[in-house]
Amino acid sequence: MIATPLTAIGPLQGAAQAFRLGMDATGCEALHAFIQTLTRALQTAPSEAMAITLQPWLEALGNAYRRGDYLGVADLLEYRIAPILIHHTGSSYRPLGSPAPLA
Amino acid sequence: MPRMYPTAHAHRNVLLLQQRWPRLCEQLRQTPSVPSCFRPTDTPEVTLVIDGLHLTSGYDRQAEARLQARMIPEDAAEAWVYGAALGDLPRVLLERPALRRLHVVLLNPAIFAATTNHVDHTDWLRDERVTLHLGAEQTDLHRPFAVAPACLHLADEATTRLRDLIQLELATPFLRKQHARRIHWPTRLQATRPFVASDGDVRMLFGTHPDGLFLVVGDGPSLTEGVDLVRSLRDRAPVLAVYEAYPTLCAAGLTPDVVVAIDPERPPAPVPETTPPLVPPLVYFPAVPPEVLDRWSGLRLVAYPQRPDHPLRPLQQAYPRGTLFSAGSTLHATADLAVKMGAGRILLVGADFTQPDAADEAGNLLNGHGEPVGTTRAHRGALRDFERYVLAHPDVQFINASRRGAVILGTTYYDEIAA
Repeated sequence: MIATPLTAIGPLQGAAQAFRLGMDATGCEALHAFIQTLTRALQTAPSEAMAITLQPWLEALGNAYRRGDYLGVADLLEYRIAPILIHHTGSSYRPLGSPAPLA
Repeated sequence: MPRMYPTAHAHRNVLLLQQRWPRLCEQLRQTPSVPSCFRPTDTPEVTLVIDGLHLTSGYDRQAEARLQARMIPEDAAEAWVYGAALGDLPRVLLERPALRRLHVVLLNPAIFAATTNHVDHTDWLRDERVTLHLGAEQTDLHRPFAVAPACLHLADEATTRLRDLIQLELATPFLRKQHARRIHWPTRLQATRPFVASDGDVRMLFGTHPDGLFLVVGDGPSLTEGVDLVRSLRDRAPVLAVYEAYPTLCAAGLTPDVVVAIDPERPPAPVPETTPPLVPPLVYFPAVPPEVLDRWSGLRLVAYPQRPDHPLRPLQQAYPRGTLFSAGSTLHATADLAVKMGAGRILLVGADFTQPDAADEAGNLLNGHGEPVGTTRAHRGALRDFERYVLAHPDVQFINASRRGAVILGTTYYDEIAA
């Protein structure tokens, strides 16, 4: 599969969901997959603007992960990092568990 | 819990707790306050950060609680919540008309006490369906359940065992997936099928030593010192050894009565320098590498895991044999074999569930001397599963030969009995 910011969303959601459920091992595995996909996406089609916007949030993500703050990690993934990825692909994004938008 | 009620929330929460759970309220009152607790200001919703961990989402607590609540079937009449956090998960579950009883277990009273200063819990605490419990008083995991994950990480010392059981349960799907990934099962089953077709059935051993004493030998670090004990009791009790302990016993000139192998990944043990004159029977799950079976010159007996969803199912359907309990550890299957052979007492030798120099992020376990011992997450999980097995067999006395390994709930120590 070609790595794009959009293909990174799947593992991102998987990680956030698993961390919110207390399934840390699954969350860590999905987070690893997300970072790998994102890294490949940035190497394949570098977007300097996206990389610059992402940088502080990825740093915060690393810090939260290191102190075991997995709900903090889930929030950063879903509410800070995902919108940046989505913005750069022009898609829409809804965090898991949030109510569906009204028709 | 503060004695002076620093906030209006605290006052309301404490009044209700005193009214409904006076004993628990008193315990909350006596807990020391948490070292670090603050309300972050950079998120749209109110949450708390305790010891560096967010108790809930700071963006959408309701959505998070709804996601967590999915762990419990919609039609469940009774459910368990581990960790109250800010009360969002109980609130969401109490919206369900089918729910008749909701047990909320506090994994760390100090954390809950801290939240009562910042959040009004009275709306859900007032609900007649709610019962509050202290985690330290809970001996087993109840289902169906959902967790507030940060509370799991902030669980106190007294709740360590319950915390481990919850984490083990939550990690099980991941561990099974990993297990399934590591081995190409169709190839493995094809390789072991000829052995299974011609080998015997473990059931031929069942009931052969009613009410007897058995030695169950694991390969933990304390086996080295346990060898002399095995030697001294060798003629008075059958010795069942895990496959990984076989070389050590052989090197000491001891031949076990039965060897048990279930591990699909461990390479075959090196051929002992001192080969016993009579090779004992090998009880095995057909998950083991075929080389193990090929090199075993003694009798081989097939067994299957007790749980129904194991990858050996196709073989079991074609060649039904007896089953043994195992949640992944060979020691589990070996102890269960002893029970099924008729054990009334089991002396555990080398059953340590520890790994010197290892550090589990969940913290160390305590040994029989009350000292912390290194362990891994896998050992910790195997220990908790074994404890559940021991507690489920009150008619069998489990005796631990060594205090060097992790404390195993439900066992007594050999030195206490021998004294």
